[in-house]
Amino acid sequence: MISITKNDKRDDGRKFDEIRPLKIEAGVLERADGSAYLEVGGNKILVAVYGPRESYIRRLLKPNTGVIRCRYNMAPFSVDDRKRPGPDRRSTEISKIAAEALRPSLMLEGFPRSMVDVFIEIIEAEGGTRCAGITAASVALADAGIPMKDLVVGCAAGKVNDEIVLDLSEKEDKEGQADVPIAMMSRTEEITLLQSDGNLSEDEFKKALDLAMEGCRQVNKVQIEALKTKHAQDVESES
Amino acid sequence: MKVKSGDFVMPGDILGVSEQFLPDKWTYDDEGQIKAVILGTVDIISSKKKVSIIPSSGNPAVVNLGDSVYGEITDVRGQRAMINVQKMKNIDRQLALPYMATIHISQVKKGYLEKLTDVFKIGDVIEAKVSKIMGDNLDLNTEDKEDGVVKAMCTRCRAYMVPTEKKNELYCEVCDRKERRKVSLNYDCQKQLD
Repeated sequence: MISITKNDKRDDGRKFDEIRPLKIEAGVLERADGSAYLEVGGNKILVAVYGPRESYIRRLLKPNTGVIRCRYNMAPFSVDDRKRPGPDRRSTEISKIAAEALRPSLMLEGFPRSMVDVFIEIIEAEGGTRCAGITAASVALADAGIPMKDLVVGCAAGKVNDEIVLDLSEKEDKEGQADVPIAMMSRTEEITLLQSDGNLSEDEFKKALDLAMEGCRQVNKVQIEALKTKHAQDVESES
Repeated sequence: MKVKSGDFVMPGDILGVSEQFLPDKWTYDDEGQIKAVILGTVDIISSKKKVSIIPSSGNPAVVNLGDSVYGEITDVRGQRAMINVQKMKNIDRQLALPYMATIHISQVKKGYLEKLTDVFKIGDVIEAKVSKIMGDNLDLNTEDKEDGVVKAMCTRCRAYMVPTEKKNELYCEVCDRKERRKVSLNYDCQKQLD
């Protein structure tokens, strides 16, 4: 069992309201329409976006608007014990919630009967991959030039040793008491994903939600910076 | 917040209010505020009071009037040929919409054309310009020199044919047969590897 003393530090030396070091890079894949690479703590995530494009899965398409489809996939070597490759219950769920978290930001009305494909590949996992995946996917969607109202940003908060903490690591997630991953639109702060695992009192939940939203604001700054470094340079070199 | 032409904006950035501009390409009116929907630089046309975004990254491949496209002939009727549009010329991105196109007999080449089967056959790959857009239905035109069939197979043996000295004629080397087509200037003459 980890021993967290009653000072204001966590197991890995972070403050309670501190996120892990974060790095995002946009436009890393040549053949994808849009892509992003994200590293947060021990997580390494690669996202590729294709489309809007024609899809042959006719039952998913809608006659009045475009649709988004996500695939969240963990590499077999992404965790300590080898993960059996292929979709499982967890990754199917995350694929679904990621698509639903991203959908409100996209304006696909101009692309009826077409589909946007988002592939979230977890290369290394260390807690909080679903939020990090959504964050990276939003950067990749912006990189692909898909019309969107806003960037979607994800961050988690939770309860570890009776303290509400931000951006749980894998250890904190496993040994902690609760985990609240959220995703929100960065400007309007509309929440597009809210899950809760574990037990929290009403006050604790509110505190965790506020903390996660504050984390989202910090992550959003890095998202914007990543897109600016990739694309503002292109603009300057052209002019 | 004041934006001017050439400013770099992110999706969701406010460009102004609806009293200032009319939203044009890649912008939208969100309850009185004009916002960007794409990464890029602002372009304000003061005379028309229009604001648009010039995309800095790639953007969805949507065809515009006059664009060159590649497609495959799926059916040849009396007056019209049906084309499955596959790709836009010079854009390496899959088309955003499942475009279906037709080409009318009068739009194939200059002058009179008696039979559409003299210029197109099912399975031919053509290059054409978009002359009309109705949602995801297009009308195409191949009157220009560079438009027309860019790859065609022999109707008897399905081998790729090569152009001859004669204009608008293709030759099948396998079964020694000549066929008539509206051949493009960009006909793919590369020999096929077995």
